[in-house]
Amino acid sequence: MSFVIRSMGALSFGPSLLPRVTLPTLSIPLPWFLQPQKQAEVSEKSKKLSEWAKAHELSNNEIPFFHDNGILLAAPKKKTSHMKRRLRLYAPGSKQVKLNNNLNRCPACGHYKRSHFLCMNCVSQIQKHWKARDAKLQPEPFREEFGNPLDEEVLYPGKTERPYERKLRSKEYLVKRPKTLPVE
Amino acid sequence: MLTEVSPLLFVALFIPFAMTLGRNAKMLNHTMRNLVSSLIEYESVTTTMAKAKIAQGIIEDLIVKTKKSTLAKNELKSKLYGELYNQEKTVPKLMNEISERYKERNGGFTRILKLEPRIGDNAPQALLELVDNGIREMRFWYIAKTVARLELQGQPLDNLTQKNVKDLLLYRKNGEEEFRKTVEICKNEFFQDDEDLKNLPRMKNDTNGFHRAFHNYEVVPRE
Repeated sequence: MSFVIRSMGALSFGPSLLPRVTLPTLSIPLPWFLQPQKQAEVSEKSKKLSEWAKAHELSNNEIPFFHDNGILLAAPKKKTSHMKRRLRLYAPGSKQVKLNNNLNRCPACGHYKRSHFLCMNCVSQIQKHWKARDAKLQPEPFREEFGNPLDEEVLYPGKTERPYERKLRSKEYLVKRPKTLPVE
Repeated sequence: MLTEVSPLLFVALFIPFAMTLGRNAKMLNHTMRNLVSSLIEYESVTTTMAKAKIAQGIIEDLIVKTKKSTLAKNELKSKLYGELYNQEKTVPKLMNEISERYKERNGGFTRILKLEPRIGDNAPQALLELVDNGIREMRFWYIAKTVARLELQGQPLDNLTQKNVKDLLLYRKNGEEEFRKTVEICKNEFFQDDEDLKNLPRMKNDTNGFHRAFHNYEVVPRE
C-alpha cells in the first residue's frame, strides 16, 4: 500500500487559465507497521459468519443458511428491456417452439414416433443386433503363439492405459438420443 | 445401354443445376460414386435425405443397364470399373448377385426410409437400402419385430401389418421361411424387458395413427 501526493500548485490557479497538463504523481511506500490491518477485518467477518451459521443450525430452519442471504447468489445486473422481452416472447413463428402434432404409435415398441419416420429406438436396436451378428461371422484375427510367455513381453511391451484414455474410450461424452414416452 | 450415357455422367450433366450439395460436379461425382459402391457392398447406407435421393437414381440406372446390357462380359466389366469404387468386390457382385436377384423386377430396386434428424447438426437423415437383400434390410426387420411383438402379446395381426407382410414377401425367394426365422430372433432378442409388452395397441383403426381431433394437451383460455 502507498499514499499518493499530488502537487497542487498548478491547480490553485484554476484549470480554466492553464492548458491541460498531466499532473506529476509521487508515491511513498509505507512500512508494514503503519499499514492498516486487513487480516483482522477478514477474521472478524468469518467469525460473524460462523456465529450466524451456528445460530441457524440451532434454530432448525428448513431453508439452508446460504439461501438468499445476499452474499453468494448471482443476479441479473439490469432489468430486461421492453424490446428484448417482446422479441423473445413474440418473435416470428419460425423462432418459436412448435407443437408436434404428427405423432404416431410405433407398432414395434408401442412408444411415440413421428409419422412417416422410423422409430429410432427400434432402428438402433436392430442395427446393434446386425453388428453383433456380423462380428461373429468375421474370421478370428491372427495371433502369434509363443512357447515362452516372456518372449511376448519382450517383443511387444504393453502400453499402460491412462485414466483419461479410459475415459475417452468409454464415450460418455457422446450425446445419446433419449427414448420416447410410451403411448397411454 | 452403358455405351450411350453413363449414369455418373448423367449426374454431371443434369443434376448439378438442381442440387449440387455445396460441391462442384467433380466432387459430387465422387461422393455419389462412393455412396453407390458402398450401397452395393453393404446393401444399406445411412446418409442425408438429399444424397440418398440422388444416389437412388444412379443405382437404379446402373442395375437396369447391367441387366439389359448386350455387351460381352469383359467389356461390361471394364465399363463398370469406371463407374464404381472398390471394384474387386462391387463389380462382380453387381453383375452376378444383384442382377440375378432383380431379374423379375422392372425398377424399384431400392427404398428410402426416413430417420430422425442427426444429432449435432440436425440434418434430415435417410436409410437407403436394396430391396430383398438377405443381409441388412431394415423394413423387413422392422415388420418382423412388430409381428413378434403382437404374437408375444397374443394379439391378432391388424390389417396394416398383414398388408405390409404380404407386400414384403411378394417377390422374395424363400420369403416365408426367412421371415419366420427373423420373427423368432426378434422374440428372443428385443423383448427382454416385461414392460415392453404391457403396452397393448388401443388405436381406433389399423393405421397406428391417432384421430385427427386427438390432442394430447388442453387449451387454457386466456383470462
